[in-house]
Amino acid sequence: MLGGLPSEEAVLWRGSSRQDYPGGPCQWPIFATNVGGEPLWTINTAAKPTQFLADDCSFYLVFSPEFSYWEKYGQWYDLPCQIQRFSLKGELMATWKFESPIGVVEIFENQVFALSGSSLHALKINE
Amino acid sequence: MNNDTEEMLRNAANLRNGTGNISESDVGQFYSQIESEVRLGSDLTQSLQPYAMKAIGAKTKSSVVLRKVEGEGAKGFSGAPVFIITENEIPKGVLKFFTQPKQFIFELSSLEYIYSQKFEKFKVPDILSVSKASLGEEPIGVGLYSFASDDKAAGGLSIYDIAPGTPLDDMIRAVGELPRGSKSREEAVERLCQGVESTAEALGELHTKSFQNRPPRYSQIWCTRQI
Repeated sequence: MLGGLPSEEAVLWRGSSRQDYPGGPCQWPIFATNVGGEPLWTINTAAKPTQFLADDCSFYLVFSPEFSYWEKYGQWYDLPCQIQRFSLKGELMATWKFESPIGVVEIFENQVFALSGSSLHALKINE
Repeated sequence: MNNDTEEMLRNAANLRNGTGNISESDVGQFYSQIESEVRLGSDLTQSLQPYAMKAIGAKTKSSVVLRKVEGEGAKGFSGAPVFIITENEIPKGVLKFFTQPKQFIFELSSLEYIYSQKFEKFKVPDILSVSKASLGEEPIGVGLYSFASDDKAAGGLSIYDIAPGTPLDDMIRAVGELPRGSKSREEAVERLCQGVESTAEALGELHTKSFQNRPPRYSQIWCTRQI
């Protein structure tokens, strides 16, 4: 379970990764159910989400490798370090990309604060 | 495997000293003997694509795709960057990348062991191509393996592929996703047990055969008894 969307009375889950064929692109299904477990919607992400946050009108998925993994493989693999904002119905609203793994992420007063590398980023949330 | 590759494996094996290590001075000399070289650019998969195309015998560039190994469980944690090469969405090879020059020689030396044996419990995939690669002045090794023709060993030398067609970590996950007490879960547990057993048998064969056939200097690192 990733977390809850209180205003929708919904719960967000991450399914196991899927590939259409061996060596094909990996997709991670994210699905929402109501509190009774009935499915509401599903989206697929191209990377494994590592953090989940939500506010009253959207939710956020953080995609970031562990720092040790990034140090070892970052030069060779395309490892996304990004935060995506979605509507409560699962529509992609914004993507913020970073150059290095993302640590702490918090939402405060209509901004997303994210620690990446040695910088603290403040990202303005557009309504 | 062609003669050049065979010779490369033999040379790598001969570099191992009494403790199994390789002296730093031999590393440079080994690399200087390898003629084929892949020059890597900032876009790694793009610079590897012509090499991969040639190795799998593909005709058109657009049909060949290199993708990093990723997914659940231990996938993507092999210690070396590993790519699966597909042609028209069909897996054709596994490209393993050695960022440490010494590790490349260790790998080739290990392959010399493996190809010199006959195994009954598992199959070893063919080597399609081996090359050195360079990123700036840094030498790096690239090994390209084929997929085996049946599902006993699907790709590279990864131990996951010994279980028929499905990685062990996927089998473990499959059990967890099925309802407790269900027949499908019982069957998944049975498949997992068979997978673990066949993997253990393959490992046992790999290490005990090596123990019987290798010089005593390696004896401390092989299995010496069965339980």
